[in-house]
Amino acid sequence: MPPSQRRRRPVEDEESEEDARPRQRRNQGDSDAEPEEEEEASEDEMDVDARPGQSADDQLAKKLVRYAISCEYSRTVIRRDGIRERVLGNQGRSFKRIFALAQIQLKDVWGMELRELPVKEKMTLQEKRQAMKSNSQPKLGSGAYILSSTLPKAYRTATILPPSKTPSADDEATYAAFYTMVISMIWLNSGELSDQKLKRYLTRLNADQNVSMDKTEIILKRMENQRYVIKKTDRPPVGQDGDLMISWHVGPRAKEEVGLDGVMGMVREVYGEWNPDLEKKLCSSLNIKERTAEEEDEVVEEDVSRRQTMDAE
Amino acid sequence: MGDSRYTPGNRAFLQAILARGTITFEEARPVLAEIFTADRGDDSEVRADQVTQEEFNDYIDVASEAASLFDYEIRSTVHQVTKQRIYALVNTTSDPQTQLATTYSPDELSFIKRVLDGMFEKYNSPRMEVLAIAEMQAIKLARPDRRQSQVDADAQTQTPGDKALKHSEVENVLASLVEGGWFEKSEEAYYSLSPRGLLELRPWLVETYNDPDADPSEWQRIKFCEACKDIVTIGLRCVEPNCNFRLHDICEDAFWRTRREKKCPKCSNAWSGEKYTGERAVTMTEAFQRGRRRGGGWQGSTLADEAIREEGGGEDAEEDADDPEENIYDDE
Ligand SMILES: [Zn+2]
Ligand SMILES: [Zn+2]
Repeated sequence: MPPSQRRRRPVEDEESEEDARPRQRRNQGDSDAEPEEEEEASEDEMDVDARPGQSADDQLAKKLVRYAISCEYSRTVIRRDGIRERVLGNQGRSFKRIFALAQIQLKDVWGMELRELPVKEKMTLQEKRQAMKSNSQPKLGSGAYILSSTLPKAYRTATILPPSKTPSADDEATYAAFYTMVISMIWLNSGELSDQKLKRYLTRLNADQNVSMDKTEIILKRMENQRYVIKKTDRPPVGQDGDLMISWHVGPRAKEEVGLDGVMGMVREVYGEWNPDLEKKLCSSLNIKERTAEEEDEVVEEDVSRRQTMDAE
Repeated sequence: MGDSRYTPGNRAFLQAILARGTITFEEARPVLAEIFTADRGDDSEVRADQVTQEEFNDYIDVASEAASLFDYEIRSTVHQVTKQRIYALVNTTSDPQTQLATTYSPDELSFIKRVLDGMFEKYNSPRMEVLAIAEMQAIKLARPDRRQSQVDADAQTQTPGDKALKHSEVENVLASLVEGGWFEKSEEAYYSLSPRGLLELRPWLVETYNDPDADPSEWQRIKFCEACKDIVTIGLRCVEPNCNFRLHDICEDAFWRTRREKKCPKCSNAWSGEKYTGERAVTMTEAFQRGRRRGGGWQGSTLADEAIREEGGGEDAEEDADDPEENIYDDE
């Protein structure tokens, strides 16, 4: 049990009187107001217990933690650009140092850390061709992060950490089932599913208009915002006629949270009866054995490394 | 943390609150049971019904203290309808604009401000305190109102944010505000601030919508329950339109039990118990009930606007009625 601390009184005892009166907006006690010193923080200056201290670095790290938490709260992806823009401001060059400090604070107080999502794959064929032509260097990291738990496995159960907060557990379960299904459909179609094909599948499932309470369109948009899926719109090549091509791809969050395991689990669940023959078919649909297409190869490798990270903890 | 007894269990509990946005004792019991089970690390299992209020309070205290290092705090309030005590992780340093700015674009932010103005100004008059906004009314706010631009003067004005949102974008923003725990959506498709939204925004709401120099007898936009002192956005009101006396439904009985007569302590009018603050200010009106009997749900018509007009509430409901509104249902 934790030590008994100052008993928290219900809010009406201590605050409503004060809050009932208008009061000045409090200053943001953030580093904005503080003089910015460009000092190199030496390792031993770091607060051992990661309590945000008073130095400019500490304040920036705290600001980064706050940014990460507010993104997580609203389930938006934390982006490196966002950190630079909203946290570091003109301290952009100190990214690495502040980031490391924030990780310590996150881990020590919140039991979490920022994990970079896998690099966005080269997606459409056209893009692939273009990438081959330009022979572009792959970027390091996707620049997008999510907060994930660093706690021992026993503390990472679904009861303690539900997938996300939505108004009701039912909605949440429906949503999780729906995105897992859509991701599975995309994955089983070699990672790229045309809009028409997706719509056809959804019609067959009677989910083309509504999913539970919400419109399908809104749910898909939410999945896109939360990066479970990526919607790609392609124009026909210059000089050719044709409509816009819309296609759906597996998003980075899906790879982190659902992964190949999740997809395979879903498929097995749907079939009910399972046998080695079906397992073989499934593997070939997911290109797990063959590993010919570089795209799927990448997926598998990412997934393996994902699992290794999990096991290592 | 300096305290060596800040354990993985404390961190897990903080995460549990962060993941949910809010938590009640009942919701926390299975969570703490699993945490205690994990703490033991053997095969013995702690059941949810073994978790006491005392243990829950301790974990809340520790979590709040830890979060305070980052200018967060765990505050509690009672849900105005369900009566459950709700604990929420609340940001203590910034106003809604700053908080929402991590998630929404400037155009979306200014739409959200218009929706809040809708809840607390347009649909909140002495005659009719709806303090909520019907979906159709919110959709009409997709376009910035030039006439109202001075209202936004205290908002972050350097951002452009004056582009109209598309119908689908409005739906997205509203859905994500519900999902993000800021708004609640009622069965009649009214949006109102959630308990968490109220906890976070209370100082800002008072500062933004109330007049600090007003006489105590003057009607104010944001009002508090006479019994529990929490903000009232869903509750009961005095029959006198300009009186500020309000009670929550759930506070009413206890309040009158201690009095000899059911008279408003502020203006001495008899207490009816049938005058409402919140969406019932609309949905309990004759006009609305009649409309519903006719079969016009909120989807088919602007029933809410109709009801408001008939009651003489809403500052510019009239004006809106003859607005040659562009067809908002056409998307692009
Ligand atoms: Zn009350
Ligand atoms: Zn009165």
